[in-house]
Amino acid sequence: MAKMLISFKLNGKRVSVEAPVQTNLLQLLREHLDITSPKFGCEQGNCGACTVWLDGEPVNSCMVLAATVDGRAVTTLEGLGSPERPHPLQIAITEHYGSQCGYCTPGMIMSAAALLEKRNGPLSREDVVNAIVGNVCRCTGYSKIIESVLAAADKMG
Amino acid sequence: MKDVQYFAPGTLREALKLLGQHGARIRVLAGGTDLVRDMNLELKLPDNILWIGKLGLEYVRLEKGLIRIGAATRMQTAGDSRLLQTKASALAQAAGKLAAPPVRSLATLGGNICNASPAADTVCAMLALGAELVLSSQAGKRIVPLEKFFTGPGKTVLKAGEMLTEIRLRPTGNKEGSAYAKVGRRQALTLAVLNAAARVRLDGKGNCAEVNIAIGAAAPKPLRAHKAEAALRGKPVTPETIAAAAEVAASEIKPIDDVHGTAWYRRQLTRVLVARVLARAAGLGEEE
Repeated sequence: MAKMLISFKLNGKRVSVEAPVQTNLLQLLREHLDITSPKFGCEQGNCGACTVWLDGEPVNSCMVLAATVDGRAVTTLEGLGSPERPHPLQIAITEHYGSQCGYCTPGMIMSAAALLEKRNGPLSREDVVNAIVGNVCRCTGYSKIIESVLAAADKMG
Repeated sequence: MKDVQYFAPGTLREALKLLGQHGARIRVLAGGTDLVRDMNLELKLPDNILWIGKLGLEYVRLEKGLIRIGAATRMQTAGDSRLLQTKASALAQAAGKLAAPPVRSLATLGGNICNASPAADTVCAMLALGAELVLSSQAGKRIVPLEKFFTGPGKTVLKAGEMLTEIRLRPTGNKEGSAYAKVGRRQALTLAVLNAAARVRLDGKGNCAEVNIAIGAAAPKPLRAHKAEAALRGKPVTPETIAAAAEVAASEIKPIDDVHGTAWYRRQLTRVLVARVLARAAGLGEEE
């Protein structure tokens, strides 16, 4: 199987990894780089569980051919916050019960955090809904997630 | 599993050379939301992949009176474009409604066209806007009207060795507008059960001087409703003439029953959505 060397910035650090040409970014992260926050859901862009940032924008990593991230920057939840230094949205999600089974949570946070990073001015409930329409959650009914994002926006000022 | 070859050239010249060399055995990869999805789900592996993300084909600009859009322009970029929002609003609306944000930062206008789905959001809008496509190969360029590009579901006039490089549109001018509307089974992440778009120009008396109507998911390819256009052209634009034109459109489509909706429902939707986009394009309706 033809393999290729892919070098890119992962959560701020340079990495180089060899993988088969047909590998998608989700497989590259989970199976070749031990980055397991992006989750395998539908592999067709319908669930958002695999959402990461590519050059600062949220994308479904399952539909990104890994070869195309060569020379670019990928940020996953691991790069956004840690147990020691959580992102304000991670704190808000725990405080507002924004996560139940947790499977959608990393992707949900990446989509919502992208909104928090690029907003100018206060957020409406509708802004939050529009930012997370690509992330399916089967537990929470979304209300607690939306509350969490709005609370994080308040905290972040 | 077979060996897939990957190419990521930095210039259009190199890309066209590769296309010429590999002909039908190379697939163009833009955003990946169709091609990589098919590789994931159906293990449809192309022999060769040509990624066009480094060719500088993401731009939206006004040049010599025409809006020129690079084929690799992503939905997010198109939806946020001030030029498209004001001078080709149907397209900005369609790009902004496609799927969801993590898809919109990958999927491209060129990909939406070349995938040739009869339900494609932005194709319907570009058809109503009267778009023309620039197809490039080593032999040179040819220009094909979008209406003549599709030959059936998933099928186009693109030849081996050729790729879509640019989309050209006439900007809307004075007393002219365009609009797009879609009904899906839910708000986001869904194919259109039916979509419609219109471009309308009024004359000094408020009569319809020019009109284009496009409907998607209503036939084997996205279609222009020429009879409905003729029914409105030259007439005052009122709720009555709009309803009459929408009724003609409903008789012009060739819908089928499928998992997304029935033919009967698609005719009902055509009446509603065509009337809605005509009213919005003519400035009579509320923007969504």
